Amino acid sequence: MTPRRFVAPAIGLACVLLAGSSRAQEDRGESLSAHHKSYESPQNFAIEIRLSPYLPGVDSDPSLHGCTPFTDIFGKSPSFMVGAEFDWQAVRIKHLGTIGPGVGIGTVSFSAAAPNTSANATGGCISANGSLSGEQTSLTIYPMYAVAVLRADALWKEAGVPFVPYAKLGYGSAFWQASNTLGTSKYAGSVGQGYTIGTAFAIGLSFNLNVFDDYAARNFDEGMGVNSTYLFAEWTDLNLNGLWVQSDPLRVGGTSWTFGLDWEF
Amino acid sequence: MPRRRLLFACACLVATTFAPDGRAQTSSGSSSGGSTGTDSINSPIPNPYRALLENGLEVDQTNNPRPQNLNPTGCNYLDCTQDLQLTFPLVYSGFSADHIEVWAGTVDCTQDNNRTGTGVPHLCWQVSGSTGPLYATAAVTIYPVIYARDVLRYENPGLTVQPYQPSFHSSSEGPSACRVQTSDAEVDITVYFIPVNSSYAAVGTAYSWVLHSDLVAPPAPLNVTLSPGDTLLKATWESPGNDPDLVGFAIYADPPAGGATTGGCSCGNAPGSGANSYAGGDASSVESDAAVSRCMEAAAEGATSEDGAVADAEGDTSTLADSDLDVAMSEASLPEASTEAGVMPDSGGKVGVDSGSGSGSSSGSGSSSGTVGDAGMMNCNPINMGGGGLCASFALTSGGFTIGGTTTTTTGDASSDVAIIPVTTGDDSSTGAEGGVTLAGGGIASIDPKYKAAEIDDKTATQITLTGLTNGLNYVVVVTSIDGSGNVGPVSTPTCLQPEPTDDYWKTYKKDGGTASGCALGGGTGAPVFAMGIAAAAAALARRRRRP
Repeated sequence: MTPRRFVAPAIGLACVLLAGSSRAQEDRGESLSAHHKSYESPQNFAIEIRLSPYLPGVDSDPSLHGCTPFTDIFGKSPSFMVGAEFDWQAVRIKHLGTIGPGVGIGTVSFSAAAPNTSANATGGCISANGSLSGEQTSLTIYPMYAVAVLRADALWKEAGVPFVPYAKLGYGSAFWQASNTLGTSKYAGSVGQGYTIGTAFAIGLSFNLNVFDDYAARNFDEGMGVNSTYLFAEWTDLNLNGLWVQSDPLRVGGTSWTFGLDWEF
Repeated sequence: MPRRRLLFACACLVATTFAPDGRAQTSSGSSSGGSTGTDSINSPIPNPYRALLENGLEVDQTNNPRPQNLNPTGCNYLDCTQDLQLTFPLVYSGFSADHIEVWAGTVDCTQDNNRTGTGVPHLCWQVSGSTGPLYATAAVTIYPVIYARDVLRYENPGLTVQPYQPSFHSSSEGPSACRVQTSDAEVDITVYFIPVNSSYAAVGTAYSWVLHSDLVAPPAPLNVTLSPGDTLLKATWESPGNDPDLVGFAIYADPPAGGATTGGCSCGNAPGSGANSYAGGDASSVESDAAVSRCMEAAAEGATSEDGAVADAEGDTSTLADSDLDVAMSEASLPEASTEAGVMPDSGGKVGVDSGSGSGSSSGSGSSSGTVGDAGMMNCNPINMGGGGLCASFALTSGGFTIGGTTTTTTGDASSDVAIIPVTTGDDSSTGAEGGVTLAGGGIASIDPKYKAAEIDDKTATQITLTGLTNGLNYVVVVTSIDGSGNVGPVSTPTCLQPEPTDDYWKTYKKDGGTASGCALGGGTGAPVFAMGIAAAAAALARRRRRP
């Protein structure tokens, strides 16, 4: 499907949703609409609460030569990453939206029982012998990023369509720590903690929840200064490969779908 | 009469060393009475007594297992075995009575019928000899001394005659007072200081004090299991049930950490090799012959002793059978443990194990191996390790001994489930048994505190990780329950396991060839470019800020 073919149905869907919300607004009367315009507070910032199933691409490390220690230990199931992001909508571009810097941080952890040391090896890879010990092993990742955020909210601001597409691009990094029951893992003089740098990219679509209760939204704005509340879905790519700077990064980056709430204020 | 007056005066003089320490009490005394007379007994301070051990030392509230909230208004099993000496400073005035008597009971002992009534059951028992007669004209402070065993003895309340036994607490019968309670619930016994006339009828106002007593410890945790880790063992267990005053658990390990590299138990795992060897105690007691002989001796004693007393609670590490101890060497606990281990002696005291030479231990510890195969194995509670191997700990499962001393303990954190096995810092036998842990309600008599690996003050806890252990060395682990009165229950069925090396994620990654090394920057082809880019951006920003 070409982009043009994709856009047309999306706009159609938006119009259908908009029609419903417009009908609700009419019920509240024109006076409320005017009231809304007069009491809209300044909008400069946004904050996000983020939740995403995350699976790092650690096993893609070329030095592993096909071994999959992460999958062997923790399995293939993702863990949920919890995060937050703060954006400064520094510049408003007329008929487009806002652009500005944003920073975010998250945390995700993988934990499992450590297998007993195995004398077996398959193809040069350590293979678990099946017996698990009473010791826990974990890998905790704290992704962080600093990105430029473009939010195309003109569609909402000027046409009332409650969808706001956006994109983010910038620098990504992650602190990580491999632990066991006794603390940070160590092996052959190498300590299992560090950080990896790379790039952060995301593209997503926000849905403005104000359309469900315009009156409450206005009160929220008047009382707390929150202009809009969004529900968003985002495709996130943390490409933490060392950025050609780190020689031996632990590839804790990954792609994921992120969902969350966003408040503009 | 003059003689009795002199005795009372002496008693007062002896007791003048008392100094109120002002510690908190859990409850206050109440006055009761009802007879005629102007006599009155009251406590001048809200903290009416102090508690002394048999050796005259004051109860150590810091190292004694009694919880602080009892302080020390309650008597637990250990208090009873130590025959706590209770001194009450009381102010007496009025002086129409002939003398003062001290009684105890769960009913109102100021009612004469409950003490001396004719033809009715006496529900109170006298706990101290009479004081007086009293001829002073002004209020006087008296310091009656009573003993815990006298209060706790429950002198057959259904009898119509309650003969006072002035030396009960220190007699051979004295320790029996520590076993009179059969349920785990706390029992409140009221101690009455009663002015009585020459006909032994109460007069004036008596002073009473409620002594909370709890002599029964909660049962042992169930289904204790061990799973190995790298220099650690994870112990899990199930709660012993809905014990009303369960507050936590204590975990003991043999050998204790802190330098022991051998000991505990050694296991022969080769089926049919006849290599069932074991040793008891830590590295200091790895002399196998001594350990084995102690087990055998304890077993023999346990088989002949009616009450199963095998250890000396007063700190004699060399004497196992001391008639004065008579503490709760359970009638059921040891056979139970042996049963669960699948090793029961026959009538001749033999157990179903090979009495081989003790070589061939698969543990690699090379520790003390001994020749076994007799009754000694019963009392040492050998643990069937599978494959014909056995494991045992003399210190944790047999006639343990109490060594007075101080121990540095690390309390387990239930949230992190990690505990560091403490290292014994000293062994001071001169302080009596304060440092020991006397087990109540069955099981072995006591465990040297140096074997205490951790304590969890959380009754919902079900696991803990013992760290700082040695891979390849067998550890025997037992868990006990602790109640709110500080009673430490019988040990669980012992389990034995070796810590083993593990492959955690980082180790697996590295073994698989992973080259990540943490924080190091550099080495990458883009490093100079990246650094130049950062520098250029910083310079541009600085330049822009300087503009007016």
